[in-house]
Amino acid sequence: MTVKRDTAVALSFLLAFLVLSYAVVEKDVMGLSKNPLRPLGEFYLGHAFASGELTSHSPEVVTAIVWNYRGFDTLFETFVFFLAIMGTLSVLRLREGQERMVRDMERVEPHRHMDLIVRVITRLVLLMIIGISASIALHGHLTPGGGFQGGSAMAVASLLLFAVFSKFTLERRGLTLRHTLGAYAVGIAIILLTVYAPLALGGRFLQINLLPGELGLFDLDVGEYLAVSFGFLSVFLILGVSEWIFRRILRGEVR
Amino acid sequence: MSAGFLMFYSVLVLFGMMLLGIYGVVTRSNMVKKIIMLNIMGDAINMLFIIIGYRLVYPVFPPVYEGHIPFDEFLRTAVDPVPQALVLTAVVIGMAMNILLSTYAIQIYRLYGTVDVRDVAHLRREGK
Amino acid sequence: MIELHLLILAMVVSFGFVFSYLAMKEHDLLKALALSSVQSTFFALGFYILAAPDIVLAYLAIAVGAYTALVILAISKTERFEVGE
Repeated sequence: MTVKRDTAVALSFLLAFLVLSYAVVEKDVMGLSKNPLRPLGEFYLGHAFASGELTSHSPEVVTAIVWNYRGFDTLFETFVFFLAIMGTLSVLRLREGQERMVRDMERVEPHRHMDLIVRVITRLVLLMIIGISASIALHGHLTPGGGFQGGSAMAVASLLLFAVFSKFTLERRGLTLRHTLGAYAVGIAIILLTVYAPLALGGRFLQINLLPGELGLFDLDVGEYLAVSFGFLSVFLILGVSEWIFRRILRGEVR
Repeated sequence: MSAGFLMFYSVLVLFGMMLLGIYGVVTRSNMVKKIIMLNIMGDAINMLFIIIGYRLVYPVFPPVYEGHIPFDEFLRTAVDPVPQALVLTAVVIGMAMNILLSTYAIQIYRLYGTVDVRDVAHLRREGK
Repeated sequence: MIELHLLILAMVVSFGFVFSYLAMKEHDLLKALALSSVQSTFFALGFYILAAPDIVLAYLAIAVGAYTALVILAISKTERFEVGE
């Protein structure tokens, strides 16, 4: 039964592959044989750094497209990101009392204590990663980079922090879920303010060319950097709770 | 080997990889394995998008104008920036989706004690 | 000389295909994850060859760093081995 079904699945995939390859090689549906520059791409390349009404003051055409020419797309991608993060946090949500239980149980958890060499080197590497990610994000409108790239580099820094120092160390230093969510909200607020600012200047929604120079692109990059990095960090903070603690809390809830 | 042949070869291998990813999602029953295969499929699709934007001219430059060449030369040699802008957001949103999916897998394991989709269906039907 | 770039691209994509096939056949999920991150590394090289520095910056951090760590967390909280066919 299952062997027959697997064979049928494999055959249908083979058929799909044949159809796709026929369409691409014989009919050239993707236009691969010449691969010209399409008119839309030519428009963006020609206008992103030129002077005129349709410019976006940025030699980095990808950032110009992401935040200026196709700004609505990216704005709603930011909301999709927001929904994914909020979905995760609401699945793993804990009540006040349960959070206190987690804190009590983490205190009795055996404390992870790495070598001095590991800790010092990790601090140095962390500083480097944070510096690099900030530089990727902050001049994303001039060189390759931007908010998404800087934010994802920063997510790696937060994971390295987890691997070497335990979550408890972070919380003792004052980095709790509340703070990271606050920073995430600041990022979203910067994005929304920049997006609504042209309305006050007599323009349309997301018409960031009305802001002086490349301020619009810079603001949106900074906002996206904060949103992506702290969104990932807050999810990892709550996923980093040990499994036995969660099991015990769930058992208490069922009973 | 000509440039066109190599281009078509890469595209066909990527089609194969995309279908391999879908096959893995369909036939494997472990949820974490499904997530891994879904990512392989997404990677192949992202690479296909970027290949569509590539150009077969020799000194080919990324779509960042650095002032090192005249502007019309830049227009002649830069790759298409539109697929790159689309894929850039897709990569980050794909990661957010991964976080959501693995959270669901973890929560299902906590509630049902298994991440096998067949077993989960059984347990639901028996009302455990 | 464009052929050299495309040759590297073809090799990278073929290696990616081989490693993703191995990842599909593997029953130990940690090994499958390692194989799939090898595939991701090859693909990052491919994005570089295709003149997309923005994608490389985002993809390398996400697919090799954050995604691998996330799935390791998920495996450590669930089961390591995939059972049955």
